[in-house]
Amino acid sequence: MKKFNKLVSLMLVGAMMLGMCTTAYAKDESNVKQYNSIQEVLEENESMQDLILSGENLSRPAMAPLTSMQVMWVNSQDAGEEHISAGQYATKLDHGGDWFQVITLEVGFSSVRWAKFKHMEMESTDTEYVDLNGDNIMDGVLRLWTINTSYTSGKFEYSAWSVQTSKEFSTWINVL
Amino acid sequence: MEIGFYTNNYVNTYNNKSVKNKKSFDGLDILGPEAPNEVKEAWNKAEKECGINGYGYGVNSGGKLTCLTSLFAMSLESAYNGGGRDILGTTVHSAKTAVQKALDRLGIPQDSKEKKEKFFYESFLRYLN
Repeated sequence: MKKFNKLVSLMLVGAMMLGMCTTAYAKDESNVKQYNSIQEVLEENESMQDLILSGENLSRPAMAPLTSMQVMWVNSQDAGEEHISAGQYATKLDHGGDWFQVITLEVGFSSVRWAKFKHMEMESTDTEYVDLNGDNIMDGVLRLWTINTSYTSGKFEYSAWSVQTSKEFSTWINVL
Repeated sequence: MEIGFYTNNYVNTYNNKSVKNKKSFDGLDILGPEAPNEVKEAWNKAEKECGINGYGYGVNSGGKLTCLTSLFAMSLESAYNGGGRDILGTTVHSAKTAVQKALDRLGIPQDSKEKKEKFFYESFLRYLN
């Protein structure tokens, strides 16, 4: 979402600059400085230039629908990290402890989602967009889920509904 | 509905018994197990300076990830595509390149977490120079 916010911010800055140019033109006879191009505005406002030039390196297609999802990583107090392969529905390490974390990968974008461990809702701790094919376009989202609870084993379940199609996707893994 | 369409046999089993005995959670054993000492030293110095590292571990987090970093995401992208999670490589140059890419990707920090992340990357690069 933060990347989307950056895009929105850039659009707003663009709109502001356009407004400045237009205003300056309308008040041509006043003392307001007239800008003939956006470049002139940028040259006079370094911070705005920085915002535009360094604001975003990944762009996102217009809300591509969800095509797949999977559990990519689990982490626990007792066993530590375990990378999860596609199609793996049980952990290989002996997890347990007072907290549990999962990272899910969504290819495409969802509008609504939930994650549960032992039927208890997990907290969405952080998200990060991913570029899976190196084309500088966001392809999906990594989500970090965390729960603080004592356990020795349990089932992680995750469901999400795609943007545009509202199709439901779900996945799960047995945590041993 | 579950769709799994890639083959990735990489499984991180750096500790298959108990993580409680692990001395540090710097993420270097995942992102740069073959990195030279200069890289590891710079990483640890930057971590002390910033309170987090590029993997997303905070100081004294005890193995719990505090956030998802750009570097971590790049590592999972590599794993997704069938490569390993080692993205720092074996040289100072390869480590600098990876962290610079993460820095570029991060762009302008939007919150305190991203500010700390950017601070870590910048410190790391500074210690490597």
